Amino acid sequence: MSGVDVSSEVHGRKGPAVDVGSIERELAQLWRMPTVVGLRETDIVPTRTSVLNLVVHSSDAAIAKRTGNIINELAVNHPSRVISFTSTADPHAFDDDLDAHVSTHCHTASGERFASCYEKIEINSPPDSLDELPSLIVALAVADLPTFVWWPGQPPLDDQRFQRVALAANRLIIDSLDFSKCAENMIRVAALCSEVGGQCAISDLNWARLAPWRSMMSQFFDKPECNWALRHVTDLKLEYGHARGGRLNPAQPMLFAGWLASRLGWDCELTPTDGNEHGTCSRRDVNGHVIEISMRGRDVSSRYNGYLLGATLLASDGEHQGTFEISRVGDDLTTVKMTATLDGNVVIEHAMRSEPANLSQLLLRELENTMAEPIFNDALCDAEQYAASIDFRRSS
Amino acid sequence: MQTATVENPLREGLRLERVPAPCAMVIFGASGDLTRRKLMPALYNLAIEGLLPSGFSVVGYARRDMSNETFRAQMRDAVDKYSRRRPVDPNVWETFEQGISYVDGNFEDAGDYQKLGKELDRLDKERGTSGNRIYYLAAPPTAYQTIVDNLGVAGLVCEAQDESWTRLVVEKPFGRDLGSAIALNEHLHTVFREKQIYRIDHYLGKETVQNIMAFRFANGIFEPIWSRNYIDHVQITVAETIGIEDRGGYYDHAGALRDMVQNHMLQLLSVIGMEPPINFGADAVRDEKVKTLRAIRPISPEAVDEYAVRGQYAPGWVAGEEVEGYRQEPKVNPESATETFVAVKLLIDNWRWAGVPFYLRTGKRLPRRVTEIAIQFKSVPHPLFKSTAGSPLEPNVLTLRIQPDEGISLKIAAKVPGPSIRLRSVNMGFLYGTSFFVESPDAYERLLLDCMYGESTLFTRRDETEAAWKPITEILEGWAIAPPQRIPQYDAGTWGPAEADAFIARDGRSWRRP
Repeated sequence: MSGVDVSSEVHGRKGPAVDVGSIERELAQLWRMPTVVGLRETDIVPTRTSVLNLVVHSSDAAIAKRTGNIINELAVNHPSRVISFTSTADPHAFDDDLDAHVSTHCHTASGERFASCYEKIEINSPPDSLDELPSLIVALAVADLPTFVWWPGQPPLDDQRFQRVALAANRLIIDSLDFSKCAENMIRVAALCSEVGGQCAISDLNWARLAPWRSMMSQFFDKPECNWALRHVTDLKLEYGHARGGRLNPAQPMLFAGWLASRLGWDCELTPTDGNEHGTCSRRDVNGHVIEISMRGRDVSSRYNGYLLGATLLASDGEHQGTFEISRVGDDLTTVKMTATLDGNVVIEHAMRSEPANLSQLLLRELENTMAEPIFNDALCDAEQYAASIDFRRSS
Repeated sequence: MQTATVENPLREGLRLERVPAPCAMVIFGASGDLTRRKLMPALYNLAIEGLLPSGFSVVGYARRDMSNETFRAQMRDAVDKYSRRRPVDPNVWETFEQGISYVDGNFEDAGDYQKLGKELDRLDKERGTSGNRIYYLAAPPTAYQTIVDNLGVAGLVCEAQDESWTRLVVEKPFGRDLGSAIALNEHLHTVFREKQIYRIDHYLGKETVQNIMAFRFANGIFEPIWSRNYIDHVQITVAETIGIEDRGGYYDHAGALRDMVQNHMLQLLSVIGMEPPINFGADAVRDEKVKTLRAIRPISPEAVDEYAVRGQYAPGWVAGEEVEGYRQEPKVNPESATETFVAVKLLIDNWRWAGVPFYLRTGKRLPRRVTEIAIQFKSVPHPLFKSTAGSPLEPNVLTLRIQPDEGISLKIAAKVPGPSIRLRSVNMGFLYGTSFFVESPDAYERLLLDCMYGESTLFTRRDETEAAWKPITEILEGWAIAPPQRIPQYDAGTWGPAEADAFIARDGRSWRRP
């Protein structure tokens, strides 16, 4: 991979205010710079494809560095305008008149004659910039293109102004794996989703991580001899990773259980189970049968902290028993095995590779679609019930 | 269409909203190159992504005496070498290989098909394949008829009223000319119904070829100008830098016209030329494609030079490497007159395309590997800028690139900034890979999965195959009647013989340099 990068600084007024007009002018200037135009003198044609606006908010320099690397990876594949805000608590950060850093980047793979180019605007923002942020997003976004706001780390879900940030975008991308207080934050996300739902789609990268699990669980019940079990579930056992010293984060099992419940029409009311069974509850299916649900943490390396490691669904109609199990196996847990057993006979046994998707892969998928995902919204609403009712603190 | 028929509320919203029914795939010619390089890696890639139905099984069938274990080990080596998902995941392979078995048998020996039948019965019982079978003919074409006959005799083909299904996948070449293609089709039909036959042309499995249909029929602005009223001509180029590699024996009897034009290039032509189908169903799409092929103007043998020109590569240089000429290649007749380059002009006699030539050009050992379709529009009716233009104004060209740099570009004229009116052509481009974020599956993966689904849109129907053979056979007959004294030679690494340039120059046009 080779490329041409050119950049420039945009100066305006002293202080945190940003001169949007200057940024646009400077960018236009960059596109005329000889290094970019110079590509035309070679066999390589610079191609400025407009697909989307990607706004990234990093709450500190460490996150900004991480997201910067991911954006570079992403940008090779999707040329667009990237607007990157980084919060800084440095009191001298706005002493000069530097408004922004703008750059253009063109990449070409070996043997290809078309270079894909994107532009990036980097702006430092004060720690509390929720007032300015929505107006800057709207002003800096390329018109007539969808705008995605990616907020890595812990989003300010408690702040009412965060809603305005969401409304400035077509899609807000968060990651519940980063939540510091998982249960409380899941409840807040569900509330945000219902507040801005009509105008901005909310997506959770942690939900995207569950896509292979949902697909595998579904696959069991495509088989006619297994399909009955969906109407006779008795137990759902979920296991998720909890690294020693790591933050307890049961968002994945909550979303997975929420998805199953919303798809299968389980009753909304759930009863936490007392006694020694922490991380458990029970609820009823459409026919009033009780389903025992447990979500347990398991010691793992930090790589799998918060990740679903196993999902077992038990079913019985009084005459037949079924067990449908998906679990991460192998030393590095990168293979997932799925097994279905009916009355003691193995009827499905599959293994497939399923490494945890990296952030850029997950983001790529999220950037494909601006529409809300009703299945996620339903799962989230249901997950809220678990977040509100289950005591996860003692379950691991 | 065979898919999961049970109601599964968990499927909603998933990428795959249906899964194929469990089935067994029998590969005839399992020890061959196609199985190792394409089929098994594609099946493994589907397995690794969890796209195969549960119980999916593969039965290799070939002459060589081999145990299941040996065959599995060979297939694992092949996957390790050719899969795009290397290295092999031992856990995935472990469950995938449980479904792989091997039957040693002759294509001619009816008794061996009984053995195959027993193995398929075992899979039905033990792996739940439910009698669903795909027979894949990865064997030499000369064996097709024998295999089909024996499958019929052994009772290994389902009847229409059966709950289970049987499908037959046939690899190209589908005959050597129109007569042999008709004979082959009729023979296949003695055992299989047309709905059971999947003639595979891997070009149709390419994402970018499928994207042509999306481009044409999902964008309102192109269809109104997609006709003789605005289009001057169309150029379809499939250029390869490679020679014939180790296929000398086959290629010397086939040539570029049969190897590339009859199948891949006429498929591209039909997708470009077809009328909008009434829906995206298999028959609706193929009905329109076949109408386009049938509208190709007949070529009389005497007039073949007006419609086709051929060439053969001589020694030369490709990408800095010195290469041998065609006649020096292994297994090639040193006096061979087989064409490694061909350019043809086809006219489609229908309302939309009357008078618009389609130039098709393909060759080996050309300077660049590229597959593209260029739609050249007519020049503006009144040359407003003629006297002030810096150089002659080029017409608009819409280029659909299949490989590499998959995408679409439009050449337009723009004013060069400055006080005078000077124009130059600029390209406005869309790169497929830069706007979509997922890796495209290999064409075989897509086509094998479609076959399991019973989805035949991307496979060639009998009438399409025969309609495609018609103009090709006419050209072959023309060449047979008047064989040239000397087949035009071109240096490897050039864009074909000088005769090809003269061929298109007669029409006042020139080849693109893609």
